Amino acid sequence: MVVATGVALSLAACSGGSGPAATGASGSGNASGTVNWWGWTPDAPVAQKYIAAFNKVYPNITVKFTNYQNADYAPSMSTAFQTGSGPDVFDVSAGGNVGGKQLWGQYAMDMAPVAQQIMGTTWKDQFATGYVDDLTDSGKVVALPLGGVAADFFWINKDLFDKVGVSTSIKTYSDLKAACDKFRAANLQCFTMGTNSTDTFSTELLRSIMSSIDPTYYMKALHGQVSWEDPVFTQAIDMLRQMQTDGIISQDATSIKQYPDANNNFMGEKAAIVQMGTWYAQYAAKASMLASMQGAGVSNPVPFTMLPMVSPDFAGKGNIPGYVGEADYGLAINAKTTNVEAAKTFVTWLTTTKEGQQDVGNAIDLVPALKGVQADWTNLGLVSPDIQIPIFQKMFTDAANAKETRNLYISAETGNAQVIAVQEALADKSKSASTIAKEAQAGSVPLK
Amino acid sequence: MADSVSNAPKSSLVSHAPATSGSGASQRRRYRTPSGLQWILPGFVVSVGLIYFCIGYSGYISLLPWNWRPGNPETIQGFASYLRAFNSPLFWTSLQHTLVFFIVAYVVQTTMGIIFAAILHSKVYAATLFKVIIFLPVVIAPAIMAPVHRRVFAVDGPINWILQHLGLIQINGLGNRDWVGWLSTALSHIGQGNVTPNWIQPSTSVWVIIAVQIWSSIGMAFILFYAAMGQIDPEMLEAARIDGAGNIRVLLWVVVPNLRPTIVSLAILNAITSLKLFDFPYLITGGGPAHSSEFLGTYIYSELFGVSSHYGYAATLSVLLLILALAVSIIMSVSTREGRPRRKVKGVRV
Amino acid sequence: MAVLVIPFVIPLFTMVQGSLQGIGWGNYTAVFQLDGLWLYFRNSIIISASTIAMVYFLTMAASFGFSKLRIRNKELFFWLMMGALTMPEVVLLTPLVITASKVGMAGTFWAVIIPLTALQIPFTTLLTRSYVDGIPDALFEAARIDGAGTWRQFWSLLVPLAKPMAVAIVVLVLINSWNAYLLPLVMLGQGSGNQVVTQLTNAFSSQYRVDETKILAGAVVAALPEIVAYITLQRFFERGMAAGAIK
Repeated sequence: MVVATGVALSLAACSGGSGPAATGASGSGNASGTVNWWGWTPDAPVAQKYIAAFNKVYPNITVKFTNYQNADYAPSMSTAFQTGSGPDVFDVSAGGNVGGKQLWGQYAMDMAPVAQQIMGTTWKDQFATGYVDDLTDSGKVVALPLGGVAADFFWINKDLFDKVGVSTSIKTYSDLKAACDKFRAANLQCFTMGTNSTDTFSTELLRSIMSSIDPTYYMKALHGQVSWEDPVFTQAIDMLRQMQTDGIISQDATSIKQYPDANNNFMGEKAAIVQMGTWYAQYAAKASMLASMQGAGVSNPVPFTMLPMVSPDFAGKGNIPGYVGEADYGLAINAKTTNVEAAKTFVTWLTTTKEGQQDVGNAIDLVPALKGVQADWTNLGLVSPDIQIPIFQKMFTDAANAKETRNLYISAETGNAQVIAVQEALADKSKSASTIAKEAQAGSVPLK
Repeated sequence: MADSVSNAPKSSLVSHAPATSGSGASQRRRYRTPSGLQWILPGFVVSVGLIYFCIGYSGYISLLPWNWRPGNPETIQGFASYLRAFNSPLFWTSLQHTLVFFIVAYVVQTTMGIIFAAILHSKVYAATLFKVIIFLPVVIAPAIMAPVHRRVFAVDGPINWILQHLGLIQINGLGNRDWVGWLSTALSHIGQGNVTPNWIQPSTSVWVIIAVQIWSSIGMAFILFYAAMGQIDPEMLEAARIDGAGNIRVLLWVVVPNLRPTIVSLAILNAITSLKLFDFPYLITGGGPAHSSEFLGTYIYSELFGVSSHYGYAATLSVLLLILALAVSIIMSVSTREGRPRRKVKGVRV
Repeated sequence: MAVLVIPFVIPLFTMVQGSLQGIGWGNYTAVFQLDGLWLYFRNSIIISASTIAMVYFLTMAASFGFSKLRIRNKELFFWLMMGALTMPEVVLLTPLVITASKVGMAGTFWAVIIPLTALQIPFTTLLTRSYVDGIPDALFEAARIDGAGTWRQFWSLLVPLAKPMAVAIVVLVLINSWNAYLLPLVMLGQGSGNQVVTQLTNAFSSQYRVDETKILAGAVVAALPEIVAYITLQRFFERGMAAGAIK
């Protein structure tokens, strides 16, 4: 598979970088035993590749990964920790109700001394800006970041754009509308989105719209400094509805889910644009794209070129919504694990070493947490490397420099209130934007 | 002696009474039926014990703060949680959905169940095949069929495909599916202008769940009616026909009254099902969009494991659900009690 | 009749059609190549078989006791049991989860089998009791006179006579325990070979990849055993339901 080639090559060719990052001496050399790793991410095949690469350096440590559905992670972890049968290593994210550090931090050991021992006193700065803080709860470094994520931009199917004759430079709302008119004339969906589930993907469009109206509003509202009943929010709701009337958002948005349906619409080449984040890059490689297309029901798939596209300026005020990003997740160690050395070896290899991070980078699902690590782009089997590589590199650089956090300050209640707001905006025309705003305000819990 | 035994009537009341025959009694040891307590105890302990224990525990937790989670200190707060439930619009919405579901599902199931059973009792080609098809949905797990149902009711799914080919739906300029002209106007006239063929929408999501649930349980109703119909004395049917009654008359006035006990049991079963409903709403619509298909079961689950975890509130809702269930079963059994003497008089073996 | 049956067939047809999209039969290959596929079935079989066995014995014993033996305040016990009949599964969740973790049973099959058994017993006892009521007491009296003790009466008389009812119970409990979703979802740890067949389709959903075609193929595979079992047992089941007095 593509990533396996990438892994093999990266082990041979250490990319040059700055900082005294360790290249293999990430733990005591003679640790052994079994480490149980639980997470909602990555996908099992990706995790197996990480583990295989790890075992080349540490053959005596067996790592068993269990992948949980997002919705099942929290209940399973809860039950396990309460019965004292928790895993040795587990995923922790910056916030949210799946792997939030505020939920699981209490069971984790402080990783600061561990990292410091390996990387020295400047260890924090060797990670991408803010990632360690994202995973710190009440002064304890709950997990070491594995990689980051950024969102609030779009992905397009360049082949469809070329076929229908639409310019890929979409800067304003009218550009978007014109593009969509052409796609619909060609019997394609323009922008596919799924709002009928509890995940927050659909709310990111609303967020982009709000940011184009007023770039400072969203974060202020999250912190409770302004109310959701502000005109910025109601205008964004109106604009969302306008997008539906103008045929930009298709009819099924209210009844489908982002995964699998919107994803399948895009991968099945039924829609030209979808709003996803940096994690979507993993499908740009031929092999994973083929698998996705088949999963979407395409019988003889031909891989297409997918490209990230910056959000258009919806409101026309000259504010281009930027990337929002943070540490996607990190690995934490159970404070009560019986296998401390083996666990430490695994976690630190994957997060603090060049090789470990190179494997993470090559999966192009995450922005590598360690500064100076880049995916081995030329060897990943991208569909159109000449076009895609420069754009992807820029995307990842912008991602690591995102000015706003993504989910960090969104409480579970606020996230849910936003989801309901989007559902009501698109599915329930009888509710006025101000009513929706009022309900959103009532349901939100601001985070300091 | 022996004769009193062999002539003993079936009624259990008499058989369990101590031997009352006069003079012979003192000469033989009085037979006391052995105690059945140890026989019912295991089943009793497992079912009643477990369930009432859970009820008690839930009751306790419902008195803790509404956002209590395991690991938090357990300080009794009283009935504040219950007030919260009564003041919560979502609580009443889910109750409303449950009620609508119960009424519609029950009526449709009973009617169609009887009709199917009647049809399949007469000579029908490939009857067994139909019987299997009708009951099959009962057998397949809801959890397994849920992804299929999502597809079936999708905007570009088979149901809309059929409607389109029946001339009820068209694809408009925006590429959206919409009702054809006359249907659109008709719907607006009855105030349902909001409803589009996009089935998983707030106005119709409950109906999707109802339809799916009916699909998956009508087979059960059918089998029960089919079996009950098989018990009906053929002579009664003959007598009615001789009197000149046509098929429908026979069905309505002779067959259906004999199905009364089944109809009542189905009511109880359906009531319980509607209160318990979880799998389909959770997996197909997720209670949405925007809580438009929220049921008590999904509401409780989301308070336990959903966006945020409020064990205290979930326990409160559970207790309220229990009270509802008990009320319903009491009402149902009272109406069953009234039916009993009538059945004995008719002499129909049920 | 054929027209009426069309709505029933639509979902089944959609299921198969969807499972053949994409790589067609390759989806089924993928399902069968799933690591630990047999474990899902093994777990479901274990849970269902145990639940059926427990429910059968406890129900037979209880209906024997209620119907043929003497118990003080019998009706009170009976109605307490029927009260439990109305219990929605979801109500049991909160206390069960907490108790199971405290007792250390969380994640074991017992945490699913025992609640499932508890939930089925009231209904099966209700059905069986009225069936056993219909068996003449005279038979038992005759056996007693011939010297048979209570246990003998139960085992050699009641059990054989109640066979039709037994089949109905087996089928009903099989359906309910095989199809159980919520209890296993909450009680069993995911992965590590601990899942049941109703969770099979989750194997094809991960964070960013929800493979619908394989999910549908998985659904067909998961549903097949039940369908086959029902078709084979269909006659017996009908007979059992007819014989079991439905009050």
